[in-house]
Amino acid sequence: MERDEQQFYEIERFLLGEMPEAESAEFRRRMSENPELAMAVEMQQMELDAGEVLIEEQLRGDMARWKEEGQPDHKPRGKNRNWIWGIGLLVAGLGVWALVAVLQPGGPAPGQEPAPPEKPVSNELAPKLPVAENQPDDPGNAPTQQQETGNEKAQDQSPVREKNNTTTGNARYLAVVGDFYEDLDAGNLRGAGNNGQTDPLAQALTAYENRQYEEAVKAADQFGKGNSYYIRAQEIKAHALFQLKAYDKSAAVFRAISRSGLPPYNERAQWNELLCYAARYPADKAQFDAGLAALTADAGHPFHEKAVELGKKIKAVQ
Amino acid sequence: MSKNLWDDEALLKALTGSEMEREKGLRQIFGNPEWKNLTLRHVREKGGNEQDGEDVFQEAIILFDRNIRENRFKGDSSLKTYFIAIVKWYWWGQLRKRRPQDELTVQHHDSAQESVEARVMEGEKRHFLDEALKQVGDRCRQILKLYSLRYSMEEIAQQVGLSSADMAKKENYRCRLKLKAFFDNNPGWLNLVN
Repeated sequence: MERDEQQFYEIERFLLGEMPEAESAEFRRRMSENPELAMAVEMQQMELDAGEVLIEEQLRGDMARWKEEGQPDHKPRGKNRNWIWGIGLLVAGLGVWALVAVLQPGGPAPGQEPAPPEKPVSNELAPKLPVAENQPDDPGNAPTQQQETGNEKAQDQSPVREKNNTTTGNARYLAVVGDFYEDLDAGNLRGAGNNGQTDPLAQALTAYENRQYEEAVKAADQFGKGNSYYIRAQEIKAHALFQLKAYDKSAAVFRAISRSGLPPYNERAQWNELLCYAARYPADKAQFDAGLAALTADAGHPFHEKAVELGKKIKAVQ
Repeated sequence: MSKNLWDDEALLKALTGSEMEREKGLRQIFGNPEWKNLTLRHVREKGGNEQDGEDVFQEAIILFDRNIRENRFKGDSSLKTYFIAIVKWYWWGQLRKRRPQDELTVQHHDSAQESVEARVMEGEKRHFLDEALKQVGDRCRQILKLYSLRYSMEEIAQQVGLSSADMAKKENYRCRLKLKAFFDNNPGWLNLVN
């Protein structure tokens, strides 16, 4: 059955409540006299409902994830006994501070005014930064976290690592990154274009959703260049590496995806690559500045505004 | 995550905002202990168990979100009151399905003062639409979702990497034609119309 484009947009205005009341009433009258028009309206409503199914799917997935992660850290005011915990923590904190002050040679002498505490910074994303050595252009060549684990011990003692892994120093930047980072849209990647057949990406996606990030990397690596799922698999790998806090490896994979020139993957990848550099700030300041300049210069880039905002936030915490 | 509960204005803005804002807003609702406890208590008082309460809470969030986006909330009450009215309305519907032989009176549905009707997507219809969505591809799914979230064509173009709002409009129309083709080939959809 053909579709009259003009009528399509008229029905759309009706269904989306964009018609003035009088026009809407007239439209209803026409519907009551014209069964074909009424059926076209029903069909378009079904089409809109399909969009709602997608929104609902995403929300259900989010809620399952939130449930696993636990509740957000807000609490209702009053009617709780958090003050008891608060006092306990305060006492414990004071004890630890006193101990550190006594043991530290450069610490304040007893009775001396302590230095004002730094603004508390979230350590939730505090990294164990791997040393960035090779940054391959081909995402498939980026080593996995698992491949690195053999070097972990040596890296722990590396002066470069020492320099980069200033947990408290980086925590501010990581907190900013945490505000901007958008997790992999697994729901959107799942089942894409497979017409009901087994999803080839299912193994990688399931591992990712179960937070088995190393498994996700391994599963994603099974898709070689030339495979039609390659870019999507690489996107999963890049996010998995990000979750593993291997920001330099993640950046390398995102960079290669961005060079694919395939929207929207390349644009998302450019943004995520920038976040990886922000996570490694100030060690990766040069890369961050270059990436930021590129995104902020491109007003048509889908992540332009976010990049501007990110630049401001990073500057603010410097 | 903010340590304070959001006020109604902030919540409304978030639910009709960008995907990131929506996620933050919805997560606030999901983690709101007061709204959840009120839901659990109502379901318990009306014959349900703890699991029913959990399920109703999640379904109510979905319906609440949809109603807010569809401008069904007229601002006659606080969002909390509105949410709980949806909980009551939804649970009442569930009870009617579970106990059709019982005479459920208005005492079971004590939210008569609130007009909270919401469009519930029934299982069969959802299944049919899932099948339809499998036919349209990745980009179309993304476009259809953003369009339902009332993103402008410019924003859709940006999100999916199209060069202009015009291109997004054409692409959206093309995606809709794909759905239509599926419906035309599966005329049973008419039986699923609410």
